[in-house]
Parts: sequence; structure tokens; C-alpha cells
Amino acid sequence: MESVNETRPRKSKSWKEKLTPLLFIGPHLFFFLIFLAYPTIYGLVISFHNWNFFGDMSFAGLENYANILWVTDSLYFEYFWTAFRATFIFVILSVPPLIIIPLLIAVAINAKPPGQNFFRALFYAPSLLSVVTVVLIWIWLLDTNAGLVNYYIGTLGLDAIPWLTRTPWVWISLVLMTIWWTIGTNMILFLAGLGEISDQLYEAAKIDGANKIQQFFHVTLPGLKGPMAFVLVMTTLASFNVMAQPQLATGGGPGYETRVLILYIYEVGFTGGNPRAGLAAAMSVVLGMILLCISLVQFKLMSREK
Amino acid sequence: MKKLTALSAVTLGSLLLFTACQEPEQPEGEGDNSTEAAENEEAAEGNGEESTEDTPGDVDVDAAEIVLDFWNGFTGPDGEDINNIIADFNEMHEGEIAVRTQTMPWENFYDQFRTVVANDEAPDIAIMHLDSIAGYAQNDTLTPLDDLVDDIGFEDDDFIEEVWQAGEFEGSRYGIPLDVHPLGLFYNIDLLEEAGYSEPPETYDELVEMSLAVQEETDAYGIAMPVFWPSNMIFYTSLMSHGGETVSEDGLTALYNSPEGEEALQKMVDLVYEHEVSPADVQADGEVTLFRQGNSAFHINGIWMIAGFEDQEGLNFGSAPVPNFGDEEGVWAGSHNFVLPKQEEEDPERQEAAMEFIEFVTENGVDWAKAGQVPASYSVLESEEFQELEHQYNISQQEFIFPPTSPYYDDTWGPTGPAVDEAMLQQMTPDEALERAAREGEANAEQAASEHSD
Repeated sequence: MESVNETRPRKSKSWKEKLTPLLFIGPHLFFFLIFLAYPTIYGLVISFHNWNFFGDMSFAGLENYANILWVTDSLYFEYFWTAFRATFIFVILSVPPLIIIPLLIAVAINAKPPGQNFFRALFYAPSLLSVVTVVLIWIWLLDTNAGLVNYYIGTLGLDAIPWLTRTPWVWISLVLMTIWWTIGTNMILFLAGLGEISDQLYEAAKIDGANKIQQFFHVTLPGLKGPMAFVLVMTTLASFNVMAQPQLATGGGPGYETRVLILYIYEVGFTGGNPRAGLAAAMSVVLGMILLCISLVQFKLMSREK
Repeated sequence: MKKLTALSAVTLGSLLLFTACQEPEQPEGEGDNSTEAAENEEAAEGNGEESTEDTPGDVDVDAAEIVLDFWNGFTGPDGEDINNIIADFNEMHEGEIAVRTQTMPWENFYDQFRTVVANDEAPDIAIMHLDSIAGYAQNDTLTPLDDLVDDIGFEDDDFIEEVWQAGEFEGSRYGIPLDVHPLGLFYNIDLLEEAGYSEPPETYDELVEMSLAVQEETDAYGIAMPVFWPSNMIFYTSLMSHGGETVSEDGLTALYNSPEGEEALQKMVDLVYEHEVSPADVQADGEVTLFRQGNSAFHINGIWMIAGFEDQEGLNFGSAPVPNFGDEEGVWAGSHNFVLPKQEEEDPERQEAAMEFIEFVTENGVDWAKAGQVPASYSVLESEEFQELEHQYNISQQEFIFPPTSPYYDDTWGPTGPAVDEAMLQQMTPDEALERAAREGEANAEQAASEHSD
């Protein structure tokens, strides 16, 4: 009898134990299914059809994929890969500074200089602004003929720089505003990571005679491996998904120079008199696949190193 | 905890500072057009993505027999003007008809419009841009209005003929014009006076001559020619003035890649590099800034800029028709149109009420004109009240040319946007740029047409 009495509460406890986590996960699962799983699958379905949001979908097989992947004389092939090129340029130009600059700032702030909280807030503040605000501020500053930046460049006796109309300046401007806007988030992540590194490691390094630079490369960087992998992947993904900055600052111009993928997908799917949901969905799927591969490679590389 | 409070205090402080700095550049007027850049401008200016619901006027909505839903994209100051008109209507019809408005940025409007019509939750009345009507009509989302117009005895000859005709697609009427919004010329009266002129230019040559004089006498530029939007609306206007055409009636063939088109575009480019009366590399909105600051004497833009320029302190500006770049008269113009979205079950009573509302608004067009538009009907155009609206009146004295009503117009004409940009930067010659645009535009339109016939 005693043994029965003992096992009973245990049994009901294990039943509860099993259910409780589900209760916590449940709401998220619910929203995940509705807002992520269902649209993703539906998007996949649309990508095999022609559809303009009205009327019925008509099955198109692989036509949408063909038009962007292997029918090289299709207009969409040209547009898609031009847009891919634009996106890629942005990623290549923006990811390194978006990692290096916040890292250096985080290290500096972590050294606890006077006014560290002020600096922390200063660098983080732009992240709280909406992208529209950020772009408007920068358009204003970078105006070719009436902007503050060119005014100062003029006082140095140099020619005005066409920040927002010509390559390569358009890229520099877009990257500049993105850096200013988003370094705060990465900085906070690095700061959290730095806090995790034990002081004993630095002391040990000091005793071994390592100078500050050696400490940075042999203690700080390895200690930040976790946050670094996360920041790298997230920043790359975010840069691939850039849209609002070129949309607002250059309208994708000059020509098609800064018409990045998401902007182009949006144009195909949602603007003009003849939206092409199927083609836009196919492009999104291709972009999604590319992003998945890149993230996997990055994670593999980051976790292989010891 | 202390750290956190300090942090958030500083953050908040700097945030306030940013928003404060940013405010003065907001009153951009209503960038009004179905082109992308315009939508961006609006998205940038509006308070984000939200839509607002309102029943204007001092009335009890529940008491009304019929409540009509009216969707529009007037998120700027023009929203207030339309609400005033609706308030009058609601008060006049208290207990019978109440009009409830739903206002949202245009891009959201078009996105949501598709969804609600497909789900049979369409509003009773909506406002749509003229060049969007054909596409939505072709997809069977709009109600043909011919019988309703006849029943209510709308006087079609009271409307400007071109805009009235443009509301028809394949023999049926889908839109009733609320207004016309053309491009116009804005000029800085003080700068012109310093240069020794009292009247605005009427031709391209006069524009160049006066601009040179302004640059001689003052530190300002003659004109600032935008590289991006609305540069291709200026191209449209120049093309019309050279006797060119945009696209064929069916929308499938580009006609702008013609000798007329080439010359029309070349003249725009020449203002920058040949006559040197405009700075190069004028970025998005850069031309507006220069004009507001009094740093350029001339400015070509839509009539919707009036309110913004009137608010600009120290800017003494006049308005006039766009100078003819070629030998003929003709200017780009858009139009807001009333449409009745398709309902699964049509209710004649509701439709009649909707038409009554539309008639009321068009008859009170002068109140709407104050928002910075040209009324679409002659009775208002010729009224003394309208003629007292100096700028609106001046800009209305032009030959409006609307794009052909084809669902493929946007596909074929669209690529002129980037093409004109590149020509204005001299990255391509006008000829190359227009040929590329035509090739892309026709491929676009062909694809769209083939998908539709599937």
C-alpha cells in the first residue's frame, strides 16, 4: 500500500511535467503555425502558379522558376540577377563594418571609460528610430546641392559628391546610414558576450606577458565565439533583406543599380496594374534557399573552429 | 537598475532631439501618383501604416438607414478637406445616409483593396487613381457605372472631356472624376525680379534665357532638374509637347522611343549639361529643397506642392503652366476617381445612395480644390470661387493629357523611370535609354497580357 501511495503523486507529477512545457510552447506554436508555417507553405504553392490576387490561380509548373533561373533571355532573369547583384554588393559592403565597428565600440565601452553609460545610450539610440526617420535624416545630410556634408566638403575646396545619385557613392551612402542605424544592436550583443568572459583569463594572459592587442586576439575574440556566430548570421540575413533604405533614398536607382532583391520582389508582387504573385513567390523561395545555404555554411565554419 | 534608468533617460533625450530635428522637413504635400516614388513619399510622410476610421459630421451613425463605407488614401492635410465635405453631406442626410471613411496610405489602400474585394468585404465607394482603373476593371473588381450615371442624370458634358473619357474601359464607365492634378511650373518671384523679369517663361527657350539671367544676377540656380521621380513625369510632359505618344491604345507597344521622345529627353538633359542652368545629380527631393530655400528660380512639380510651398516662410512664389519644351501644348495629369467596388450582391438602394454622395462631392468641388487640386467639372472650374484660388487656377490653364486607359500602360511605360534617371545622369544617351525602356516595357506588357488570357 505504501508503495502505491508513493507512486501515485509521482505519476500525476510526471504527467503534469510533460504538459506544462507544452502550455508554455503552445501559444508560440499557435502563432508560428498561423503566421509562419502556413504562409511559407502557401507561398511555396503560389510559386508554382500564375496568380494576380484576383480570380483563380492557374498552374504554371516550373515556369516561374525557369524565368528566373535558367531561361537566360527572359527579362525576369536579367532583372532578378541584377537585383541579386545589388543585394550582394550591399551585403559585402555592409556586413564587415557592421561587425567590426560594434565589436570595437563594445570593447571600448567594456573597458569602463568615464561616461560609459552615455556612450552606450548614444550608440544604441539610432536603433530605436524607424527606418523612415533614419533615411530622411541622411537624405537631408547627404543632399548633393543643399546638404550639410557637401557643404563642409565644399569649404575644404573639394567638389560636391553625388552621394545619392551615382555609383559608387550610392552604395557608400546606403551602407553609412545602415551602419549608423544598426550598430547599437550588435554592440549590445557583444557587450553581453564580453561580460561573460572571466577576468581570470585576462589576468592569466597578463602574467604570461601578453599585451593588450594579444589579449584581444587570444582572449577576447575566442571568448566571443558564441555571440560572434549569432551576430554574423543575423547581420548577414538582415543585410540580404535590405529594402527600405534603397527604396526611400534612391528608389532603386540610378537605373537599376540599387534595386535590391526584396525591393524588386515587392515591385513584382504588389505594384503596377498586373501584380505577379507567382513570380514574386518563386523569387522569395529562391532567395530563401540561398539564405538558408549561407547561414548553414556560416554556422558550420564558426562551429568547426575550436 | 540605476544604470538602466540612466540609459533610458539618455536614449529618450536623444530620441526627442532627433524627432525634433526631423519635423520641419515633413510637409511634403501629397506626393500623389501611382508611381512608386510617390508612394514612398507618402509612406515617409504619413504616420506609418495605420488606417483610420471616421464618420465626419455631427450625426448619429446608428440612426442612419444606410451606412456607406468610403475608402481613400488622403492621409495628408487633404484628408481634412474631404472630411469637411463629407460632414456637410452627413448632416444634410441625417437619419438616411451616413458616410464612414477609412483612410490609409495609398500603397496600403491598393494592397488591401485586392484582398477585401476578393473576400467580398469591399467598401461601397472608393477613390482610385485614373491609371489604375483599367487594371482593376479588367480583373472584374469594379462595378460598371453607365446605368447609374444615366439614372441619376449626371451631366457628363459638365466634366473636362479628356478626364471624363479616361474613366472608360472597353466601352463601360468605371470612374467618376473627383479632380485633376497636373504638373505645373512654380517660380520664385523675387529671383525673377532681380533678374529683370516679371512674367514666367512660356517656352523652353525663354526658360533657358531667364535661368541664365537669374544665374548671372544672383547666387541661385535657374532650375533644378530631378534625376529620380518625378523626372519621368516631366519627360511625359516634354514628350507631349514634342507631339510624341506614350504607348499604343492597347498598352502593349511603346511609342516613346521615337525621334520625338529622344528630343524631348535630350532637352531635359541639356538643361543640366548643355545650358548649365540646373545642377547635376539632384537626388530624391533635392529639387524641392533648393526651391524651398530660394536657391532655384524655377521648379516643375505636381500641383499638390502648393500647400507645402505656401507654408514655407520667406518663399515668394508664383505658379504657371509648364513651359512648352516643344511646339505643342500638353502636360502630364493624373486624376482621382470615384469607383464602386464590386459587391457579391448588388443593392440598388446602396448604389443610389453612393451616387448621391458622389454627385454631392463633385458639385462641391471648389472646397476640394482648396486642398490643392483642379476640379474636374466646368461648372466649378469656371466659378468665381475657383478663380480666386490663384495657384490652382494658374496651373489649371493647361492642356491636360491623360495616359491611355489600358491595363498594360503601367507595364509598358514603367521602365521609362530608370531610363530617364540614367539619361539625366548621362550614363546613357536618351536614345539608348528609351530603347532599353521600350524593350523591357513591351516584354513586361506581353507577359502580363499572356498571363491574363490564360
